[in-house]
Amino acid sequence: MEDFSQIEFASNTDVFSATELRSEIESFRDIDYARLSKKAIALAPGTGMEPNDLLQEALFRALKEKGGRNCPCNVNPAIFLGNVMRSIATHARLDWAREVPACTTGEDESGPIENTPDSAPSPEEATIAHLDYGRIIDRLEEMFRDDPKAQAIIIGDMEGWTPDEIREMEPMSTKEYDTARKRVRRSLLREFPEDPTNE
Amino acid sequence: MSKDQKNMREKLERLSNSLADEIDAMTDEEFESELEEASEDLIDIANRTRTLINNAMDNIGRQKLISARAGYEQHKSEDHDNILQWSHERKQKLIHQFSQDDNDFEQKLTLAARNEGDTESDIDSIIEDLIELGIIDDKGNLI
Repeated sequence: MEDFSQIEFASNTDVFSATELRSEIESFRDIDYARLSKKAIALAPGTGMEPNDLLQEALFRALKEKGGRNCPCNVNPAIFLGNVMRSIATHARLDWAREVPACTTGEDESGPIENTPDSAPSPEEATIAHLDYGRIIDRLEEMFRDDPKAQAIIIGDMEGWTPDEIREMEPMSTKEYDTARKRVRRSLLREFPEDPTNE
Repeated sequence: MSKDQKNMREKLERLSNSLADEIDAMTDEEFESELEEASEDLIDIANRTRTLINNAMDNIGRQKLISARAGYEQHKSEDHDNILQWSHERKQKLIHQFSQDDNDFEQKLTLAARNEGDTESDIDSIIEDLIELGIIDDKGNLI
């Protein structure tokens, strides 16, 4: 049988306590706060949460001592909070887009489970989620309609392409690529197309 | 989740994560310079975010305090149920109730009091004996 006691011991001693983490956060520089604010704007789309709510939720989880997420002492707390936001955002998007219950398709695949109460969204909710993701993506493409280089970067990032693959789709020099990427970043971090789930 | 829906969610997630990665990858100078180019005020953004974070931390602190206080109150009320946690006066009163019909017991108590032996530990010791003998339970009820 494996002995997990050492792991437990190590994990408990190598993380900031809530008090220590709070003190670390209070000593953030202006630029750390600004980066966190921009990261919240980058990560909130499609989560159904406002950027500020995402940041507050990350703080709540990071400062919760029991059952929360503890910041390892060797990790910059500002980076850690960013990673907590990313994790919350991923889960929030999954929650929002949960699978439409099998019973709503009219096909009897679930047997007795079909009649049990289900916390999954209604077909209407699932359809709204579906449409909303589509609307955000449409709005993104619309934002850069007159800027093919920026649009290529948006599409490339969404597809998970490398910079070379993006430049292959829309021919541009490295400098043009960097400038276009900066335009995309500046626009989206100023105002990501509004998430219709928040309207 | 339909394939299409999953696909759109993943696309949005990749774009969001890519933007967040870029923020991490920028040096302080690059980040500051981009804000300047976008006519955004670093100090203003920082101040708004600091206020948001401080308010959130204060709320979390208040919630923790409320929850700790509730826990303490519960603990206190549970403790007060236990006879050994009663006040000295309350314990004395209980003991003297027992001694009213028992002259020997009353005499022992009087002697103990006279010898300044009627201390908290003496009273506790008597109570423990009463519990052990099955005369009272740990809440002070007669069995």
